[in-house]
Amino acid sequence: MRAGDLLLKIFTGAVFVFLYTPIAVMMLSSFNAGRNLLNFTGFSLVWYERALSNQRIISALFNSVLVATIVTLLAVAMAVLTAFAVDRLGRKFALAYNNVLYVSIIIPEIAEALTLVLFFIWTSFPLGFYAVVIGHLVWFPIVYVVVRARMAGMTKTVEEASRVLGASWLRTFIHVTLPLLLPAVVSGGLLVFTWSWDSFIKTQFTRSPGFETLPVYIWNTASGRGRGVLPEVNAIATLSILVSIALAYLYVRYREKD
Amino acid sequence: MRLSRRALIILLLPATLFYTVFFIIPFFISFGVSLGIFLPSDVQISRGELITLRYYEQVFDQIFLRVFLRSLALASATTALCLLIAYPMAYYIAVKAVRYRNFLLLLVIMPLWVTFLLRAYALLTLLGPEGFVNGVLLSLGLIQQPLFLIYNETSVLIGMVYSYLPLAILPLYSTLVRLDKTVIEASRVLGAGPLKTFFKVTLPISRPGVFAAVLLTFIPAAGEFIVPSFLGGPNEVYVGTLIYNAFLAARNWNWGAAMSIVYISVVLLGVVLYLRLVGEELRV
Repeated sequence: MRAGDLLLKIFTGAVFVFLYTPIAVMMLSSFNAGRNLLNFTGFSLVWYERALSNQRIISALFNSVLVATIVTLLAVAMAVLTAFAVDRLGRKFALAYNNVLYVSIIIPEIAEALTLVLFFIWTSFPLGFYAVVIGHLVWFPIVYVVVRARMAGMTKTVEEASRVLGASWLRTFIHVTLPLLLPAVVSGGLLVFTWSWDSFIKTQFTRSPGFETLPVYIWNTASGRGRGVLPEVNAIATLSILVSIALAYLYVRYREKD
Repeated sequence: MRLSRRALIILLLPATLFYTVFFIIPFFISFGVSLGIFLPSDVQISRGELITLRYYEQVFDQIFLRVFLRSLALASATTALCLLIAYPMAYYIAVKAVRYRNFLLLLVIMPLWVTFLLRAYALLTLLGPEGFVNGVLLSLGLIQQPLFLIYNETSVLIGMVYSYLPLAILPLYSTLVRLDKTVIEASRVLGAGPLKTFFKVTLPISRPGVFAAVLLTFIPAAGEFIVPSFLGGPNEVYVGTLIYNAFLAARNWNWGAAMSIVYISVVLLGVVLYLRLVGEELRV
Protein backbone atom coordinates (compact mmCIF):
# COMPACT_ATOMS: atom_id res chain seq x y z
CA MET A 1 0.00 0.00 0.00
CA ARG A 2 1.29 3.46 -0.88
CA ALA A 3 1.98 6.01 1.85
CA GLY A 4 -0.76 8.29 0.58
CA ASP A 5 -3.39 5.56 0.84
CA LEU A 6 -2.29 4.70 4.36
CA LEU A 7 -2.56 8.35 5.34
CA LEU A 8 -6.09 8.50 3.90
CA LYS A 9 -7.02 5.39 5.83
CA ILE A 10 -5.73 6.78 9.13
CA PHE A 11 -7.47 10.09 8.46
CA THR A 12 -10.81 8.39 7.75
CA GLY A 13 -10.48 6.29 10.88
CA ALA A 14 -9.71 9.37 12.98
CA VAL A 15 -12.78 11.18 11.66
CA PHE A 16 -14.98 8.20 12.52
CA VAL A 17 -13.54 8.27 16.05
CA PHE A 18 -14.46 11.98 16.18
CA LEU A 19 -18.00 11.20 14.98
CA TYR A 20 -18.66 8.36 17.41
CA THR A 21 -16.77 9.26 20.61
CA PRO A 22 -19.32 11.75 22.03
CA ILE A 23 -22.22 9.35 21.48
CA ALA A 24 -20.23 6.43 22.91
CA VAL A 25 -19.24 8.43 26.01
CA MET A 26 -22.83 9.47 26.61
CA MET A 27 -24.09 5.90 26.23
CA LEU A 28 -21.40 4.53 28.54
CA SER A 29 -22.16 7.12 31.22
CA SER A 30 -25.79 6.06 31.20
CA PHE A 31 -24.79 2.53 32.27
CA ASN A 32 -22.52 3.71 35.07
CA ALA A 33 -23.63 3.46 38.68
CA GLY A 34 -21.72 6.63 39.56
CA ARG A 35 -22.74 10.12 38.50
CA ASN A 36 -20.14 10.42 35.76
CA LEU A 37 -17.71 8.27 33.82
CA LEU A 38 -14.75 9.16 36.02
CA ASN A 39 -15.84 7.17 38.99
CA PHE A 40 -16.94 4.17 37.00
CA THR A 41 -18.36 2.19 39.88
CA GLY A 42 -19.70 -0.61 37.75
CA PHE A 43 -22.37 -1.48 35.24
CA SER A 44 -25.83 -0.53 36.38
CA LEU A 45 -29.28 0.21 35.06
CA VAL A 46 -30.10 2.53 37.95
CA TRP A 47 -30.45 5.61 35.73
CA TYR A 48 -32.81 3.75 33.42
CA GLU A 49 -34.94 2.80 36.41
CA ARG A 50 -34.87 6.38 37.60
CA ALA A 51 -35.73 7.70 34.12
CA LEU A 52 -38.56 5.25 33.55
CA SER A 53 -40.14 6.03 36.89
CA ASN A 54 -40.11 9.75 36.10
CA GLN A 55 -43.67 10.69 35.14
CA ARG A 56 -42.52 13.57 32.93
CA ILE A 57 -40.16 11.33 30.92
CA ILE A 58 -42.84 8.65 30.54
CA SER A 59 -45.37 11.08 29.14
CA ALA A 60 -42.76 12.63 26.81
CA LEU A 61 -41.87 9.15 25.56
CA PHE A 62 -45.55 8.33 25.06
CA ASN A 63 -46.16 11.58 23.17
CA SER A 64 -43.13 11.02 20.92
CA VAL A 65 -44.28 7.52 19.98
CA LEU A 66 -47.90 8.60 19.47
CA VAL A 67 -47.07 11.63 17.30
CA ALA A 68 -44.52 9.76 15.18
CA THR A 69 -46.89 6.81 14.63
CA ILE A 70 -49.87 8.95 13.59
CA VAL A 71 -47.69 11.13 11.38
CA THR A 72 -46.13 8.09 9.69
CA LEU A 73 -49.47 6.42 8.94
CA LEU A 74 -51.08 9.57 7.55
CA ALA A 75 -47.96 10.66 5.64
CA VAL A 76 -47.67 7.24 3.98
CA ALA A 77 -51.34 7.27 2.99
CA MET A 78 -51.09 10.77 1.53
CA ALA A 79 -47.81 10.06 -0.24
CA VAL A 80 -49.03 6.82 -1.86
CA LEU A 81 -52.31 8.28 -3.10
CA THR A 82 -50.52 11.34 -4.48
CA ALA A 83 -47.72 9.38 -6.11
CA PHE A 84 -50.27 7.04 -7.71
CA ALA A 85 -52.22 9.97 -9.16
CA VAL A 86 -49.17 12.00 -10.24
CA ASP A 87 -47.90 8.93 -12.08
CA ARG A 88 -50.93 9.30 -14.35
CA LEU A 89 -50.62 13.03 -14.95
CA GLY A 90 -48.97 14.66 -17.92
CA ARG A 91 -45.17 15.04 -17.72
CA LYS A 92 -45.21 18.79 -17.35
CA PHE A 93 -47.86 18.86 -14.65
CA ALA A 94 -46.15 16.04 -12.74
CA LEU A 95 -42.84 17.92 -12.78
CA ALA A 96 -44.44 21.10 -11.47
CA TYR A 97 -46.23 19.13 -8.75
CA ASN A 98 -42.95 17.52 -7.66
CA ASN A 99 -41.13 20.83 -7.48
CA VAL A 100 -43.81 22.40 -5.31
CA LEU A 101 -43.69 19.45 -2.89
CA TYR A 102 -39.87 19.43 -2.71
CA VAL A 103 -39.86 22.96 -1.31
CA SER A 104 -40.97 21.68 2.10
CA ILE A 105 -37.93 19.39 2.21
CA ILE A 106 -35.33 22.07 1.51
CA ILE A 107 -36.77 24.91 3.61
CA PRO A 108 -34.88 25.14 6.93
CA GLU A 109 -37.00 23.80 9.78
CA ILE A 110 -36.84 26.95 11.89
CA ALA A 111 -38.20 29.23 9.16
CA GLU A 112 -40.96 26.76 8.27
CA ALA A 113 -41.89 26.30 11.92
CA LEU A 114 -42.25 30.04 12.38
CA THR A 115 -44.51 30.50 9.34
CA LEU A 116 -46.70 27.60 10.51
CA VAL A 117 -47.07 28.90 14.05
CA LEU A 118 -47.93 32.40 12.80
CA PHE A 119 -50.64 30.81 10.69
CA PHE A 120 -51.97 28.97 13.77
CA ILE A 121 -51.95 32.19 15.78
CA TRP A 122 -53.65 34.13 12.99
CA THR A 123 -56.41 31.51 12.65
CA SER A 124 -56.59 30.99 16.46
CA PHE A 125 -55.90 27.30 15.92
CA PRO A 126 -55.08 25.88 19.37
CA LEU A 127 -51.42 24.92 19.82
CA GLY A 128 -50.74 21.47 21.23
CA PHE A 129 -51.02 17.85 20.11
CA TYR A 130 -52.96 18.45 16.86
CA ALA A 131 -50.79 21.41 15.85
CA VAL A 132 -47.66 19.30 16.43
CA VAL A 133 -49.05 16.42 14.31
CA ILE A 134 -49.99 18.82 11.50
CA GLY A 135 -46.55 20.42 11.64
CA HIS A 136 -44.78 17.06 11.27
CA LEU A 137 -47.20 15.91 8.59
CA VAL A 138 -46.07 18.77 6.33
CA TRP A 139 -43.02 16.52 5.82
CA PHE A 140 -45.06 13.88 3.95
CA PRO A 141 -43.20 14.83 0.71
CA ILE A 142 -40.15 12.93 2.01
CA VAL A 143 -42.23 9.72 1.75
CA TYR A 144 -43.60 10.88 -1.58
CA VAL A 145 -40.09 11.27 -3.04
CA VAL A 146 -39.16 7.69 -2.16
CA VAL A 147 -42.47 6.18 -3.34
CA ARG A 148 -42.45 8.22 -6.54
CA ALA A 149 -38.92 7.08 -7.40
CA ARG A 150 -39.95 3.45 -6.99
CA MET A 151 -43.10 3.96 -9.03
CA ALA A 152 -41.21 5.59 -11.90
CA GLY A 153 -38.98 2.52 -12.13
CA MET A 154 -41.87 0.03 -12.07
CA THR A 155 -43.12 -1.65 -15.22
CA LYS A 156 -46.72 -0.82 -15.91
CA THR A 157 -47.52 -4.11 -17.67
CA VAL A 158 -48.56 -5.93 -14.47
CA GLU A 159 -51.09 -3.25 -13.63
CA GLU A 160 -52.35 -3.26 -17.19
CA ALA A 161 -52.72 -7.04 -17.14
CA SER A 162 -54.83 -6.78 -14.00
CA ARG A 163 -57.05 -4.17 -15.64
CA VAL A 164 -57.40 -6.13 -18.88
CA LEU A 165 -58.39 -9.19 -16.88
CA GLY A 166 -61.29 -7.21 -15.48
CA ALA A 167 -60.16 -5.85 -12.10
CA SER A 168 -61.31 -2.34 -11.22
CA TRP A 169 -58.62 0.31 -10.69
CA LEU A 170 -59.23 0.21 -6.95
CA ARG A 171 -58.74 -3.54 -6.86
CA THR A 172 -55.67 -3.27 -9.06
CA PHE A 173 -54.27 -0.63 -6.75
CA ILE A 174 -54.78 -2.72 -3.60
CA HIS A 175 -53.72 -6.10 -4.98
CA VAL A 176 -51.07 -5.18 -7.54
CA THR A 177 -49.65 -1.68 -7.16
CA LEU A 178 -49.45 -1.54 -3.37
CA PRO A 179 -47.54 -4.83 -2.88
CA LEU A 180 -45.05 -3.77 -5.56
CA LEU A 181 -44.56 -0.45 -3.76
CA LEU A 182 -44.07 -1.97 -0.33
CA PRO A 183 -40.27 -1.59 0.05
CA ALA A 184 -40.52 2.09 -0.88
CA VAL A 185 -43.49 2.58 1.44
CA VAL A 186 -41.55 1.06 4.34
CA SER A 187 -38.34 3.02 3.75
CA GLY A 188 -40.26 6.27 3.20
CA GLY A 189 -42.28 5.59 6.34
CA LEU A 190 -39.10 4.99 8.33
CA LEU A 191 -37.71 8.32 7.12
CA VAL A 192 -40.72 10.35 8.16
CA PHE A 193 -40.97 8.46 11.47
CA THR A 194 -37.38 9.44 12.22
CA TRP A 195 -37.93 13.08 11.23
CA SER A 196 -40.90 13.21 13.55
CA TRP A 197 -39.10 11.32 16.34
CA ASP A 198 -36.12 13.70 16.08
CA SER A 199 -38.05 16.92 15.56
CA PHE A 200 -37.30 19.58 18.12
CA ILE A 201 -37.79 23.03 16.59
CA LYS A 202 -41.18 22.41 14.95
CA THR A 203 -42.50 20.67 18.05
CA GLN A 204 -41.19 23.40 20.32
CA PHE A 205 -42.97 26.08 18.26
CA THR A 206 -46.31 24.34 17.87
CA ARG A 207 -46.69 22.61 21.27
CA SER A 208 -48.73 23.85 24.19
CA PRO A 209 -46.93 24.45 27.52
CA GLY A 210 -47.83 21.08 29.08
CA PHE A 211 -47.07 19.00 25.99
CA GLU A 212 -43.55 17.56 25.74
CA THR A 213 -41.92 15.07 23.39
CA LEU A 214 -38.55 13.48 24.16
CA PRO A 215 -36.38 16.05 22.32
CA VAL A 216 -38.34 18.87 23.96
CA TYR A 217 -37.90 17.27 27.39
CA ILE A 218 -34.14 16.90 26.84
CA TRP A 219 -33.93 20.50 25.67
CA ASN A 220 -35.87 21.76 28.67
CA THR A 221 -33.63 19.94 31.13
CA ALA A 222 -30.24 20.23 29.45
CA SER A 223 -29.89 23.39 27.38
CA GLY A 224 -28.46 26.64 28.61
CA ARG A 225 -25.75 27.44 31.10
CA GLY A 226 -25.83 25.86 34.52
CA ARG A 227 -28.34 23.13 33.78
CA GLY A 228 -26.05 20.75 31.97
CA VAL A 229 -25.95 16.98 32.07
CA LEU A 230 -28.14 14.68 34.17
CA PRO A 231 -27.62 10.90 34.27
CA GLU A 232 -31.37 10.25 33.78
CA VAL A 233 -31.23 12.34 30.61
CA ASN A 234 -28.24 10.29 29.44
CA ALA A 235 -30.34 7.17 29.89
CA ILE A 236 -33.36 8.44 27.98
CA ALA A 237 -31.14 9.98 25.28
CA THR A 238 -29.41 6.61 24.88
CA LEU A 239 -32.80 4.92 24.45
CA SER A 240 -33.77 7.51 21.85
CA ILE A 241 -30.50 7.03 19.94
CA LEU A 242 -30.94 3.24 19.99
CA VAL A 243 -34.38 3.72 18.41
CA SER A 244 -32.84 5.98 15.74
CA ILE A 245 -30.06 3.53 14.99
CA ALA A 246 -32.52 0.63 14.71
CA LEU A 247 -34.58 2.71 12.28
CA ALA A 248 -31.46 3.59 10.26
CA TYR A 249 -30.53 -0.08 10.05
CA LEU A 250 -34.03 -1.08 8.90
CA TYR A 251 -33.96 1.76 6.37
CA VAL A 252 -30.70 0.57 4.83
CA ARG A 253 -32.06 -2.99 4.65
CA TYR A 254 -35.23 -1.88 2.86
CA ARG A 255 -33.35 0.44 0.52
CA GLU A 256 -31.35 -2.54 -0.66
CA LYS A 257 -34.60 -4.30 -1.61
CA ASP A 258 -35.93 -1.19 -3.32
CA MET B 1 -53.57 2.07 -16.40
CA ARG B 2 -55.73 5.09 -17.05
CA LEU B 3 -57.89 6.80 -14.51
CA SER B 4 -60.95 8.97 -14.93
CA ARG B 5 -60.47 12.66 -14.33
CA ARG B 6 -62.71 12.48 -11.29
CA ALA B 7 -60.73 9.64 -9.70
CA LEU B 8 -57.50 11.57 -10.28
CA ILE B 9 -58.88 14.65 -8.55
CA ILE B 10 -60.16 12.62 -5.60
CA LEU B 11 -56.74 10.97 -5.19
CA LEU B 12 -54.84 14.26 -5.40
CA LEU B 13 -57.20 16.19 -3.18
CA PRO B 14 -56.16 15.23 0.39
CA ALA B 15 -52.44 15.90 0.02
CA THR B 16 -52.88 18.97 -2.16
CA LEU B 17 -55.39 20.51 0.20
CA PHE B 18 -53.29 19.73 3.28
CA TYR B 19 -50.09 21.03 1.73
CA THR B 20 -51.77 24.21 0.51
CA VAL B 21 -53.43 25.00 3.83
CA PHE B 22 -50.53 24.13 6.14
CA PHE B 23 -47.48 24.95 4.03
CA ILE B 24 -48.22 27.37 1.20
CA ILE B 25 -50.83 29.59 2.85
CA PRO B 26 -48.78 29.99 6.10
CA PHE B 27 -45.95 31.28 3.96
CA PHE B 28 -48.17 34.04 2.53
CA ILE B 29 -49.72 34.77 5.94
CA SER B 30 -46.20 35.18 7.33
CA PHE B 31 -45.33 37.50 4.48
CA GLY B 32 -48.40 39.51 5.50
CA VAL B 33 -47.29 39.42 9.14
CA SER B 34 -43.83 40.65 8.16
CA LEU B 35 -45.47 43.67 6.48
CA GLY B 36 -47.78 44.25 9.44
CA ILE B 37 -50.93 43.42 7.44
CA PHE B 38 -51.77 40.52 9.78
CA LEU B 39 -51.14 40.44 13.54
CA PRO B 40 -49.96 44.09 13.72
CA SER B 41 -47.82 45.02 16.72
CA ASP B 42 -48.98 47.52 19.36
CA VAL B 43 -46.55 50.18 18.13
CA GLN B 44 -47.96 49.83 14.65
CA ILE B 45 -51.59 50.06 15.83
CA SER B 46 -50.86 53.15 17.90
CA ARG B 47 -49.41 54.82 14.81
CA GLY B 48 -52.33 53.69 12.68
CA GLU B 49 -50.10 51.99 10.06
CA LEU B 50 -51.93 49.32 8.06
CA ILE B 51 -48.85 48.19 6.20
CA THR B 52 -45.25 48.94 7.01
CA LEU B 53 -41.67 48.07 6.14
CA ARG B 54 -40.45 48.78 9.68
CA TYR B 55 -39.87 45.08 10.44
CA TYR B 56 -37.61 44.71 7.42
CA GLU B 57 -35.80 47.85 8.51
CA GLN B 58 -35.32 46.12 11.88
CA VAL B 59 -33.89 43.07 10.14
CA PHE B 60 -31.30 45.16 8.33
CA ASP B 61 -30.54 47.24 11.39
CA GLN B 62 -26.85 47.62 12.32
CA ILE B 63 -26.92 45.20 15.26
CA PHE B 64 -28.82 42.52 13.39
CA LEU B 65 -26.62 42.97 10.37
CA ARG B 66 -23.75 42.04 12.64
CA VAL B 67 -25.64 38.88 13.68
CA PHE B 68 -26.22 38.03 10.02
CA LEU B 69 -22.55 38.48 9.25
CA ARG B 70 -21.58 36.35 12.24
CA SER B 71 -23.95 33.60 11.06
CA LEU B 72 -22.52 33.78 7.55
CA ALA B 73 -19.00 33.59 8.97
CA LEU B 74 -19.91 30.56 11.09
CA ALA B 75 -21.66 28.89 8.14
CA SER B 76 -18.67 29.60 5.86
CA ALA B 77 -16.16 28.25 8.36
CA THR B 78 -18.35 25.17 8.96
CA THR B 79 -18.73 24.54 5.23
CA ALA B 80 -15.01 25.01 4.52
CA LEU B 81 -13.93 22.69 7.34
CA CYS B 82 -16.57 20.09 6.41
CA LEU B 83 -15.40 20.10 2.79
CA LEU B 84 -11.74 19.79 3.77
CA ILE B 85 -12.49 16.82 6.01
CA ALA B 86 -15.25 15.24 3.92
CA TYR B 87 -13.48 15.25 0.56
CA PRO B 88 -10.55 12.98 1.42
CA MET B 89 -12.88 10.77 3.43
CA ALA B 90 -15.44 10.44 0.64
CA TYR B 91 -12.58 9.79 -1.78
CA TYR B 92 -11.19 7.05 0.43
CA ILE B 93 -14.60 5.37 0.87
CA ALA B 94 -15.61 5.67 -2.78
CA VAL B 95 -12.34 4.91 -4.55
CA LYS B 96 -9.97 3.10 -2.20
CA ALA B 97 -12.04 1.11 0.29
CA VAL B 98 -14.05 -0.83 -2.25
CA ARG B 99 -14.45 -3.92 -0.06
CA TYR B 100 -15.77 -2.11 3.03
CA ARG B 101 -17.59 0.59 1.09
CA ASN B 102 -21.13 -0.25 2.23
CA PHE B 103 -20.16 -0.68 5.86
CA LEU B 104 -18.28 2.65 5.93
CA LEU B 105 -21.20 4.33 4.21
CA LEU B 106 -23.52 3.00 6.92
CA LEU B 107 -21.16 4.49 9.51
CA VAL B 108 -21.51 7.86 7.75
CA ILE B 109 -25.30 7.67 7.51
CA MET B 110 -26.02 6.48 11.05
CA PRO B 111 -25.19 9.75 12.87
CA LEU B 112 -27.59 11.55 10.51
CA TRP B 113 -30.45 9.53 11.98
CA VAL B 114 -29.62 10.78 15.45
CA THR B 115 -31.09 14.22 15.94
CA PHE B 116 -28.85 17.30 16.16
CA LEU B 117 -30.23 17.92 19.61
CA LEU B 118 -28.90 14.62 20.96
CA ARG B 119 -25.58 14.95 19.18
CA ALA B 120 -25.07 18.43 20.63
CA TYR B 121 -26.06 17.02 24.01
CA ALA B 122 -23.55 14.18 23.56
CA LEU B 123 -20.79 16.75 22.91
CA LEU B 124 -21.82 18.38 26.17
CA THR B 125 -21.27 15.12 28.06
CA LEU B 126 -17.82 14.91 26.48
CA LEU B 127 -16.58 18.49 26.73
CA GLY B 128 -18.73 20.09 29.45
CA PRO B 129 -17.41 21.25 32.85
CA GLU B 130 -18.45 17.88 34.36
CA GLY B 131 -17.67 16.10 31.13
CA PHE B 132 -15.41 13.21 30.29
CA VAL B 133 -12.39 15.17 29.01
CA ASN B 134 -12.27 17.46 32.02
CA GLY B 135 -12.75 14.49 34.30
CA VAL B 136 -9.81 12.58 32.81
CA LEU B 137 -7.54 15.64 32.98
CA LEU B 138 -8.56 16.34 36.58
CA SER B 139 -8.02 12.79 37.76
CA LEU B 140 -4.62 12.66 36.08
CA GLY B 141 -3.73 15.80 38.01
CA LEU B 142 -2.92 17.71 34.82
CA ILE B 143 -5.34 20.48 35.76
CA GLN B 144 -6.72 21.68 39.09
CA GLN B 145 -9.88 23.38 37.79
CA PRO B 146 -12.15 22.16 35.00
CA LEU B 147 -11.28 23.82 31.69
CA PHE B 148 -13.88 25.87 29.87
CA LEU B 149 -13.95 23.78 26.75
CA ILE B 150 -17.45 24.85 25.77
CA TYR B 151 -19.46 28.07 25.71
CA ASN B 152 -17.10 29.72 23.24
CA GLU B 153 -16.82 30.16 19.48
CA THR B 154 -14.42 27.26 19.00
CA SER B 155 -16.77 24.79 20.68
CA VAL B 156 -19.64 26.03 18.51
CA LEU B 157 -17.52 25.48 15.40
CA ILE B 158 -16.50 21.99 16.56
CA GLY B 159 -20.15 21.20 17.23
CA MET B 160 -21.17 22.48 13.82
CA VAL B 161 -18.54 20.44 11.97
CA TYR B 162 -19.45 17.41 14.06
CA SER B 163 -23.14 17.81 13.16
CA TYR B 164 -22.84 18.68 9.47
CA LEU B 165 -19.92 16.48 8.40
CA PRO B 166 -22.03 13.46 7.32
CA LEU B 167 -24.18 15.78 5.17
CA ALA B 168 -21.07 16.90 3.31
CA ILE B 169 -19.65 13.40 2.88
CA LEU B 170 -22.74 11.87 1.21
CA PRO B 171 -22.99 14.02 -1.98
CA LEU B 172 -19.20 13.94 -2.43
CA TYR B 173 -19.29 10.17 -2.09
CA SER B 174 -22.01 9.79 -4.70
CA THR B 175 -20.10 11.77 -7.33
CA LEU B 176 -16.74 10.20 -6.53
CA VAL B 177 -18.13 6.67 -6.65
CA ARG B 178 -19.13 7.22 -10.29
CA LEU B 179 -15.72 8.61 -11.15
CA ASP B 180 -14.24 6.90 -14.19
CA LYS B 181 -10.87 5.62 -13.01
CA THR B 182 -9.50 5.33 -16.54
CA VAL B 183 -9.48 9.14 -16.81
CA ILE B 184 -7.23 9.36 -13.76
CA GLU B 185 -4.98 6.61 -15.11
CA ALA B 186 -4.77 8.41 -18.44
CA SER B 187 -3.66 11.58 -16.69
CA ARG B 188 -1.00 9.68 -14.74
CA VAL B 189 0.21 7.75 -17.78
CA LEU B 190 0.53 10.98 -19.72
CA GLY B 191 2.96 12.22 -17.07
CA ALA B 192 0.93 14.35 -14.65
CA GLY B 193 1.88 13.95 -10.97
CA PRO B 194 -0.72 12.97 -8.36
CA LEU B 195 -1.29 16.59 -7.27
CA LYS B 196 -1.70 17.86 -10.81
CA THR B 197 -4.04 14.96 -11.60
CA PHE B 198 -6.12 15.80 -8.54
CA PHE B 199 -6.48 19.51 -9.33
CA LYS B 200 -6.83 19.17 -13.11
CA VAL B 201 -8.93 15.99 -13.33
CA THR B 202 -10.50 14.62 -10.14
CA LEU B 203 -11.62 17.89 -8.56
CA PRO B 204 -13.23 19.35 -11.72
CA ILE B 205 -15.13 16.10 -12.36
CA SER B 206 -16.50 16.05 -8.82
CA ARG B 207 -17.71 19.64 -8.97
CA PRO B 208 -21.46 18.82 -8.79
CA GLY B 209 -20.81 16.88 -5.58
CA VAL B 210 -18.87 19.79 -4.12
CA PHE B 211 -21.72 22.17 -4.99
CA ALA B 212 -24.27 19.86 -3.38
CA ALA B 213 -22.14 19.48 -0.25
CA VAL B 214 -21.80 23.26 0.04
CA LEU B 215 -25.54 23.73 -0.36
CA LEU B 216 -26.45 21.00 2.13
CA THR B 217 -24.15 22.38 4.83
CA PHE B 218 -24.13 26.13 4.23
CA ILE B 219 -27.90 26.78 4.10
CA PRO B 220 -28.94 25.00 7.29
CA ALA B 221 -25.70 26.04 9.05
CA ALA B 222 -26.51 29.71 8.44
CA GLY B 223 -29.73 29.30 10.43
CA GLU B 224 -28.50 26.71 12.92
CA PHE B 225 -29.98 27.18 16.32
CA ILE B 226 -29.55 24.03 18.40
CA VAL B 227 -25.75 23.69 18.28
CA PRO B 228 -24.96 27.29 19.36
CA SER B 229 -27.57 27.09 22.12
CA PHE B 230 -25.94 24.01 23.61
CA LEU B 231 -22.30 24.87 23.06
CA GLY B 232 -22.16 28.66 22.66
CA GLY B 233 -21.89 31.38 25.26
CA PRO B 234 -24.83 33.67 26.06
CA ASN B 235 -23.43 36.42 23.84
CA GLU B 236 -23.13 34.28 20.76
CA VAL B 237 -26.31 35.09 18.91
CA TYR B 238 -26.93 33.75 15.40
CA VAL B 239 -29.80 34.09 12.91
CA GLY B 240 -31.42 30.87 14.20
CA THR B 241 -31.22 32.13 17.78
CA LEU B 242 -32.80 35.44 16.71
CA ILE B 243 -35.73 33.77 14.94
CA TYR B 244 -36.27 31.45 17.90
CA ASN B 245 -36.14 34.31 20.42
CA ALA B 246 -38.29 36.57 18.27
CA PHE B 247 -41.05 34.03 18.60
CA LEU B 248 -40.59 32.33 21.98
CA ALA B 249 -38.93 34.96 24.15
CA ALA B 250 -39.71 38.38 22.74
CA ARG B 251 -43.05 37.48 21.12
CA ASN B 252 -42.09 39.88 18.34
CA TRP B 253 -43.87 37.98 15.59
CA ASN B 254 -43.59 40.59 12.85
CA TRP B 255 -39.86 40.86 13.19
CA GLY B 256 -39.49 37.06 13.34
CA ALA B 257 -41.64 36.76 10.21
CA ALA B 258 -39.51 39.33 8.36
CA MET B 259 -36.33 37.46 9.30
CA SER B 260 -37.81 34.11 8.19
CA ILE B 261 -38.93 35.58 4.87
CA VAL B 262 -35.44 36.98 4.23
CA TYR B 263 -33.85 33.67 5.21
CA ILE B 264 -36.24 31.57 3.09
CA SER B 265 -35.69 33.88 0.10
CA VAL B 266 -31.93 33.51 0.40
CA VAL B 267 -32.29 29.72 0.61
CA LEU B 268 -34.56 29.49 -2.43
CA LEU B 269 -32.29 31.81 -4.40
CA GLY B 270 -29.33 29.60 -3.50
CA VAL B 271 -31.15 26.46 -4.63
CA VAL B 272 -32.25 28.02 -7.93
CA LEU B 273 -28.70 29.21 -8.62
CA TYR B 274 -27.41 25.76 -7.75
CA LEU B 275 -29.83 24.02 -10.11
CA ARG B 276 -28.82 26.46 -12.87
CA LEU B 277 -25.12 25.79 -12.30
CA VAL B 278 -25.40 22.03 -12.05
CA GLY B 279 -27.90 21.95 -14.89
CA GLU B 280 -25.29 23.68 -17.06
CA GLU B 281 -22.65 21.19 -15.96
CA LEU B 282 -24.84 18.25 -16.82
CA ARG B 283 -25.65 19.63 -20.24
CA VAL B 284 -21.95 20.10 -21.04
